[in-house]
Amino acid sequence: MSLHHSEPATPRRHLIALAASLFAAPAFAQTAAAPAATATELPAVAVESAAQALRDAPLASATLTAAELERQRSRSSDVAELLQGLPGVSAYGGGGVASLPALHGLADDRVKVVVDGLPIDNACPNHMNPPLSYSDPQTLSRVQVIAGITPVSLGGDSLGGTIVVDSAEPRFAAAGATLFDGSLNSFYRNNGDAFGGALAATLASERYHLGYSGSGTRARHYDGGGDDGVVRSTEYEKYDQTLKLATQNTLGLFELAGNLQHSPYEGFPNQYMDMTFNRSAQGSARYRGVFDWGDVEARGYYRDTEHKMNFLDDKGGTASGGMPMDTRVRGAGYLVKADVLLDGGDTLRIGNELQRQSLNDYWPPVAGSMMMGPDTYINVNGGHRTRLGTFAEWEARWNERWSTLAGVRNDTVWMNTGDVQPYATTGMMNAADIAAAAAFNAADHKKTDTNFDATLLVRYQASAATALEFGYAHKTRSPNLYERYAWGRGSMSSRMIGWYGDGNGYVGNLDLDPEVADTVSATLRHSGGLAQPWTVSVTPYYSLVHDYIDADKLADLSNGFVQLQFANHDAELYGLDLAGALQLWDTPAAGRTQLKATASWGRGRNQDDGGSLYHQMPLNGRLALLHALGGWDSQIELVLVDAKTRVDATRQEPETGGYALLNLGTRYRWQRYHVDFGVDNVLDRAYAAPLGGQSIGDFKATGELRPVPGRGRSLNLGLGLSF
Amino acid sequence: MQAAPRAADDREAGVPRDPRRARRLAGAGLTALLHLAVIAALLRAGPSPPPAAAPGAVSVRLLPALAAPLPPPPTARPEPRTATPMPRAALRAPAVKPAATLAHAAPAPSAAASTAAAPDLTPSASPPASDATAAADPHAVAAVDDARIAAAYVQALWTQIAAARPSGTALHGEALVGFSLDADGRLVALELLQSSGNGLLDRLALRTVRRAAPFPPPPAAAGREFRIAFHFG
Repeated sequence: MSLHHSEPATPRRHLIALAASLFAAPAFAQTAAAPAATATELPAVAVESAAQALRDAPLASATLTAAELERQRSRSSDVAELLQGLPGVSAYGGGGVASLPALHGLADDRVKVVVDGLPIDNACPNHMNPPLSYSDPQTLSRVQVIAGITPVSLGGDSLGGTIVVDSAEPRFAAAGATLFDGSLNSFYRNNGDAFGGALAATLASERYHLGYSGSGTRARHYDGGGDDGVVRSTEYEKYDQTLKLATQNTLGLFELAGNLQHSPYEGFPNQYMDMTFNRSAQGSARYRGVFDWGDVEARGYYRDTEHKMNFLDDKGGTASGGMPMDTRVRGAGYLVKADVLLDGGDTLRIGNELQRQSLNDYWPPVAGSMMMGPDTYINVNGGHRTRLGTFAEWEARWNERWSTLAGVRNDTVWMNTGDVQPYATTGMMNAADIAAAAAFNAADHKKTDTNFDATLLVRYQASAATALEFGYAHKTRSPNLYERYAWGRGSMSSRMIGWYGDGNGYVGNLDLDPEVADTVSATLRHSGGLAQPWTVSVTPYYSLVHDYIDADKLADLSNGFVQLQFANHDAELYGLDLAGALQLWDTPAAGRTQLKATASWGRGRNQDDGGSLYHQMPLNGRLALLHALGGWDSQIELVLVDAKTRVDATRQEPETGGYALLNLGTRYRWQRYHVDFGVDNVLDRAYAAPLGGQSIGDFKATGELRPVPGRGRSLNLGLGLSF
Repeated sequence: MQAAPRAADDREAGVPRDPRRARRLAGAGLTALLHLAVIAALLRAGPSPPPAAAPGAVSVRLLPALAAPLPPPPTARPEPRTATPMPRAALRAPAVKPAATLAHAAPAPSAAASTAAAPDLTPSASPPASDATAAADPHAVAAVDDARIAAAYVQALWTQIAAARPSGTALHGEALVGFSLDADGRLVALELLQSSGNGLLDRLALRTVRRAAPFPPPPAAAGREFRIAFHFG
């Protein structure tokens, strides 16, 4: 008895000892042998804000800094749209703040998006609230895009690259002082009468940080260029607020954050539905510690999202009930990772993460409607998706020239959902859905995927000016809840599913397998010139995707579109990114002038049918001339996009024409104030963005189908002050 | 990697796949293995042994800003100190400050320099001043040599510390660290002279110096006590 009594104490003591030893690492006692003030001073060592290590910043990554984001924020309220200036980045058009980013031709869920270190679940059958829609360019401090091979610690459950979005880091005051500062910004874009503002404020002592940032934006429909006229269903309104509390002590840095996003409406020009409500609240905690043996980071979060779709005025409004579709998603998870410093400058990064999503998607009956009633259409009933990921990666510096990063990870994904029901259990109008619900309910919904990823990156620093990086990645993504569990086979019910903006209907597939990509890529970066420095980088890539989740045709729909079902196919994607910068001159009198250029070319092919994959960006590039002198910071930008002629015949993807857009912008900064002025699409060129999708809003109003026109000329004004 | 190839027939027929179970087990195995690795790494690193080069001798004052008032930051840039009184002739010798020498030797000491080769500085490469055999004014030549030796040593220290610096951080601040070496170049004292205002950055700065040690034995001309600032962000 006494033996049993004493036993539990032993493991507990070990745990306490382990915890104590972990946290006590930096707490050495001070000795009297402290160096005197007369010591020899060494030159300062600069640790850059952008990470240099392979594990954080492969060569094929690009970062939009706070300064670059500031210059752009009066131009768009959509983070994904701003990223399109980076090589290899494109985006599926959507709502005004909800484009779906694509890296090297792989979009949406295939791209890992991490906002302040955490994933955000899509909570909509049309992906109207993607992760980047919870960020506002007005309050971001950094966006990093890894378009090439992604280290396993930044990947998981994705195929392509990674987008890392960070808000401002906590700051503290000097000893005995109080820090209070902030900024106030506003903007106006005349095309669509878009306006918005943001307030950021920090109050901090030596130990505590309290930060608030809030932003709001609102826009009417925009006008297309030339004779394209108004583009329907492009209005939106959105508010984001974040409150962050941080404290530092001898154990490390602790943060608590609360985010609240509210959008009363957002039109979607390329969907049958509009978003009529989205409210999402997240609470998160983060801990960071620096110890002799390495660094530790732990995060945890809980997010609750309430999302509603219906028709805004262009699509008929809700006076007669419209077609309500409600989604409720709760997500929770954690991430723990450690960088263990090894001898010789090597680093071992290990980590573990959990992401759990539970989703209910139901469409309430519409009074008096023969088709949408009398019951609630249950699209997803208590669906859940839980992912447990574990990774280890080792960065080694072999010598001055060679370094490698090798990583493996495992993600296990568990999915399940309950039984479903159509609007009615009898009647001709719902016959397809009645049969589909019966078949779905008779099937087993439980799925478990065990996925493995591996990444190898090798960097060769040929000289101070030239670096070469090779990489191979094996990456796996499990289907999302809608790809597996959307079950409706009626024309209308299937057209409510899909984030492609193509007007087609989509049906889920319980037999879908995870998609697996093998990618090889290389990046060569070379810089030169003393008086006129220049740099150029080239990134070719090739991906073979086994079981790529594409779509097969089930039937023609009466409105000219088609009904498709998600299906695994093999696919390949390949292409080339180019980026270069050249300083033309830098003198006190004439200021600093730089020429920057990027170009991306890529192809995506379904190997089973030989056709193009959907929404592959044609050859495109940007040429920008930047000039800074005194308080002025100006740029002239030329956007060049080739015609899109390789289209996905299965989805009836429209071709689009080539175009060139001219954008101008300047900022004047004076003391604590700044003014931005710019003109986008100066020549008011009519064009359709290649990945903009079909203009369903216009189609419903006029009966005429066209690709979604791009924004016409817009005069943009921004004002700001810091305090 | 998919642990087992998939049979297309299985997929079409909806037959439960045995390979999946194997994959699942393999996944569970790998997860368990990685968890064990994490725990093992933590346990191994947990007791945080002092640096092997100077067991028990390194002193660190943690977060002085939180514990006690900071010492006032030094304002004057001190000249390299020598162990012996400096000859008078040194005053007439051209001023060779470490920073100036470094500016030539390493064009951008604050820029990314992790790939910069460390200078070939070994103890034997630091001839004592008495070895100088110049003809005209042996005292002046000796002083100049001393300054050069000190500057070269300072550069070697800097290069070694810079190579050990963190990869990058989004946090901003500047920390000033002081440290002392013994005759063999081992770290005997390490102190935060000025906090960056962020405890994580202070610890990164201290850890960088600690991990960079041991250093080459300091020549007499270079002294034993040094200070180095870290600019983060």
